[in-house]
Amino acid sequence: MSLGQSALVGIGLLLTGIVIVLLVRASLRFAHASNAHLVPELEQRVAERTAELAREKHNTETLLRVLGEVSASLDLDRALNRTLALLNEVIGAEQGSILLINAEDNTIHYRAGYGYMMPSIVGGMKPTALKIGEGLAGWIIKNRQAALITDVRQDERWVELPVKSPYQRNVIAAPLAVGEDVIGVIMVFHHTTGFFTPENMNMVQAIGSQVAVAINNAQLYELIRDQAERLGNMLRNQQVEASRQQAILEAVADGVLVTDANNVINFVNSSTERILGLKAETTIGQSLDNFVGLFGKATQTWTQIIRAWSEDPTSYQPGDTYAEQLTLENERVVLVHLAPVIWRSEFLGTVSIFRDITHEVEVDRLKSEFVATVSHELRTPMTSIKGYADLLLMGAAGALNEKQTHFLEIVSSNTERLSILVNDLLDLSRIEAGRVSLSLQPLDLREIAESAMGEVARRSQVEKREMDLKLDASPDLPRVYGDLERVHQILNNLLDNAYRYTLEKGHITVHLEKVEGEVQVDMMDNGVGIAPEDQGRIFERFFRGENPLVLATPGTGLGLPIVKQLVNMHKGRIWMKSTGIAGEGSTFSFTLPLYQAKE
Amino acid sequence: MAKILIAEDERDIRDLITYTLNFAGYEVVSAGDGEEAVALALQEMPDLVLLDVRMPRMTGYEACKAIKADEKTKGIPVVFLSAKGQEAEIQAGMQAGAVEYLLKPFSPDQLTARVQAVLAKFSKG
Repeated sequence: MSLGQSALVGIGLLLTGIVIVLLVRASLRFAHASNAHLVPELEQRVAERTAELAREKHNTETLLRVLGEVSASLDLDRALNRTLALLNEVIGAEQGSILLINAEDNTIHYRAGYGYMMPSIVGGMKPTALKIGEGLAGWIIKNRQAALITDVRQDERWVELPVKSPYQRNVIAAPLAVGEDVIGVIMVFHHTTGFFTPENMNMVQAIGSQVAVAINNAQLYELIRDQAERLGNMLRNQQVEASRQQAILEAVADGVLVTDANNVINFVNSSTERILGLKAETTIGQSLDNFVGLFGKATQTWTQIIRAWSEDPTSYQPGDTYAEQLTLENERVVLVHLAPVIWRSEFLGTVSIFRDITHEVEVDRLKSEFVATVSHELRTPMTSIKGYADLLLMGAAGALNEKQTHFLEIVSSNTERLSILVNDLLDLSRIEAGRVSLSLQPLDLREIAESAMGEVARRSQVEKREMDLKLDASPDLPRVYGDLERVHQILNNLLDNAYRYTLEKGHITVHLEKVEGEVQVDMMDNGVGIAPEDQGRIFERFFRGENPLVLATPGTGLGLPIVKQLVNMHKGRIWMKSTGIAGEGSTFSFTLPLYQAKE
Repeated sequence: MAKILIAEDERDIRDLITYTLNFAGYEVVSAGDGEEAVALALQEMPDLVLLDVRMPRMTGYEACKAIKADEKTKGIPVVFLSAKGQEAEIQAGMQAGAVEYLLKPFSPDQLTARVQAVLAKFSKG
């Protein structure tokens, strides 16, 4: 460089606008002065510059190819291996690796490799022992900067493999950075120390940036694809589950009708269509109110409750359900069960189950009618038999001898027994059919027990069969809530059993005591007792066991089943205890709920 | 001697009631169905009418209503004597205007006692 040129450059630094003119003039002056020796120099410089431009063009082309390669391919592994191949080709590297950080354990994994003896890594990650900050790769990631290392064996960051690779001496390593994040390292190797140039390093760095973006995109793509697939599966599973549930609901013999939170019908199964005489296609999507007229007046309460729940879900109390027997306009009798659908304390609607009980109701009616008719038909001849026998006993047809009197007494007492049996049968069938309703009122159990025991005492006198009767009740016994007539019947039946199955001069004690929320009645006798094997069946209809003493006593086997039903109707409990040893008797206990005065 | 009208379609039972009440010292007029009972009530003006429920031509309920609907006979106490003992049936009998509802089978003692009690309660004059 000449002195004149340096001076001109100095000016150029100060006054950029004017410098160009001066430079041109100076060059012309130089060319004029020393033309001969400057020509080859210029030619050489042009050639150098041309080569440089060609390299840059080649590099740019490589970059473009890499860019095209990694951005066009959705197959990340193929793109990475292809990128390494191109890179090696361009800068003359012998081996190349791409290592990525595994987010799960923060270690560095191999993702792609090129130029190795082993097969290239395709798909998945192969772990290295390196953590971030460890080894050369770890250093690059930690420091976020590229490095050109003349000979790795002289570099303390390098962690040598157990088997030293002769190919890995000269290394370029560059971070794969996306924005602020470093996701991995790209490394190229050559066995000749000092083979790579800083220009090569720039190239590796530039490609690294592209690769990083591509990897990031691919990872995002994978994430989105996985998520889409998962959502798709979820949706499919839900559809399958919904179809399955719908199929189950369709198959149910009972009608199912579902309304949403706005009282609109959103599901009916085919049984509902059959029972209510509706078509699903004209029902679904309609407000339930549109159908009230169709079902008749009987369904008013049902629809009102649904509407009340829909309009004000807070009116629903946990555990609220509704069940009613409806007689529809088409004369079908339907039992409807209604329950709200609550999910995480949100009211979603209601579900109603319809059961067609037309047939059952008819059968029940026929059964009751049959029992009533049979008992009526039995009573008429019984009236004659008993009436005439009693009339004869009264002497209406003249005086009788002792034998005639005895025989007629047998006829009369057996007719009486038959009459009780018919009454009990009728009573039990009515209780079981739910035709007996209780008129509940506060009752003084002590009074009722006294009256019932009075009857037994009178009977014991008439029959000249001595019995020791004792009533044992605390003075402050609270009142129970029951039906006077039916509670009387319970005590009468149990006392009657105690009297009948206890030998003459036996003891019967009735003990009344308040227990938790109830009054408990214990009736103890020292009669024949009940064998342990019979105790489980004692409340069954017509069961009388096999004790000859019991069987010799007239009885229907219906008294205890009636008592049990009546106690249950009062929401009380009944049980018995007996050793089964004659003379130790048995204890029958039952409870009745206390009367709670309303405020 | 009090006069009692009985209506019962079953002959054996009609006779049984007649014997029983005769034995107890009452005069008995008997009818075999409801229609006859209504006619006899008007004709005989008994002190008490004892009606079966299930009878041909006219049921006991209808006969009772007819007797209660007539100015001349409406003061005569009516008692049902029936094998139909369900609550609804008893209620129907009482609604028709009866003062008592007795169930079959009955013992002669029982029947006599009830008749005596009703007569004492509703005796004329």
